[in-house]
Amino acid sequence: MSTEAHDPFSHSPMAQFEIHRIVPMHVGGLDVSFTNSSLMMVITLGLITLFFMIGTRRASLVPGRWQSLTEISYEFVAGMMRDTVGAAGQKFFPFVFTLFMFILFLNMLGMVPYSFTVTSHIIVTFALAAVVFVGVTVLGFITHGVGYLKLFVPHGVPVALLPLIVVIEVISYLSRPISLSVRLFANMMAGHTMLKVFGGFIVMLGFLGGWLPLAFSVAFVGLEVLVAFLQAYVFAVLTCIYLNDALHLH
Amino acid sequence: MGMAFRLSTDLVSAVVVGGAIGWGLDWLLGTGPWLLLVFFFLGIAAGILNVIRTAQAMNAAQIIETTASDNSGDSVEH
Repeated sequence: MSTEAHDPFSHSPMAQFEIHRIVPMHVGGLDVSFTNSSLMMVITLGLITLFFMIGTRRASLVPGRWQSLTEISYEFVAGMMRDTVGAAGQKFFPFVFTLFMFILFLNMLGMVPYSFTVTSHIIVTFALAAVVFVGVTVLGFITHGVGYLKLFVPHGVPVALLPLIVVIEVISYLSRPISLSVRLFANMMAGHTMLKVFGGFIVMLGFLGGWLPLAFSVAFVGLEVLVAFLQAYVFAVLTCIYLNDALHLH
Repeated sequence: MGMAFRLSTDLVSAVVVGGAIGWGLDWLLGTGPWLLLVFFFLGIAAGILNVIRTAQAMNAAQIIETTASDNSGDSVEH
């Protein structure tokens, strides 16, 4: 196993998720090395910046190809926010748009062979979900004060049942960042492991039997591209729903 | 598949959070396995609540979608 660990052609389907230090750094006992994961994030940020710089370079009334792409991505997120949050959410458009583009690009770049899927690590998705969760909670308390706690008290509940219901509602609220992060991480990790497993089948069955897993692999790559987009969308739409809860108490 | 996965993570995450709260309180208060049991079942209840809410939201979204497409179909016909 140890000889296989640094072999890029390793047969282990989990080898693709390994973190390698590129520039080792230690600050105050903490390992803050620049890893392949960090490198992918920097590349992603660079590509997003490049995408919008090209798209807005020659802004014209009749958009060109790149301008259309940037306008479609803008319209997509803006429309989603209008549907779920309404006019009050427009202040938070930059946040949701950044989140959506960041996750979308990370997922899509993860589909490139020999690249690294940052969103297949739970710590990354959990950090993103925690930012959303803490931000939304703080926002709720800022807009409604202590009244935000009414979120945990549904209408028309008998007083005798109230302690039970409130505890259940609090658990339901606290489960939000967990489900948000686990959903993205599990989808990406499961998909990429499946791709590697079927890629391994092609090699193992060789020229005679490898065509069936190859066909499956090709179809599965298409599905994975869909999942990569869908999970970025789900993350953004749930952020909008949580924002809506914080802005408009029901 | 995306929908089913969303519902299952909603359910499981609430059970995990409930269990973690119970375990933490047990560890703090030293009250045997009892709070873990109580909060585990409360977590299941919260998970089912999550699933019901998500399913309702999905239903509502689907109804809006189908009525919208019906209306656009009608306008094309007439």
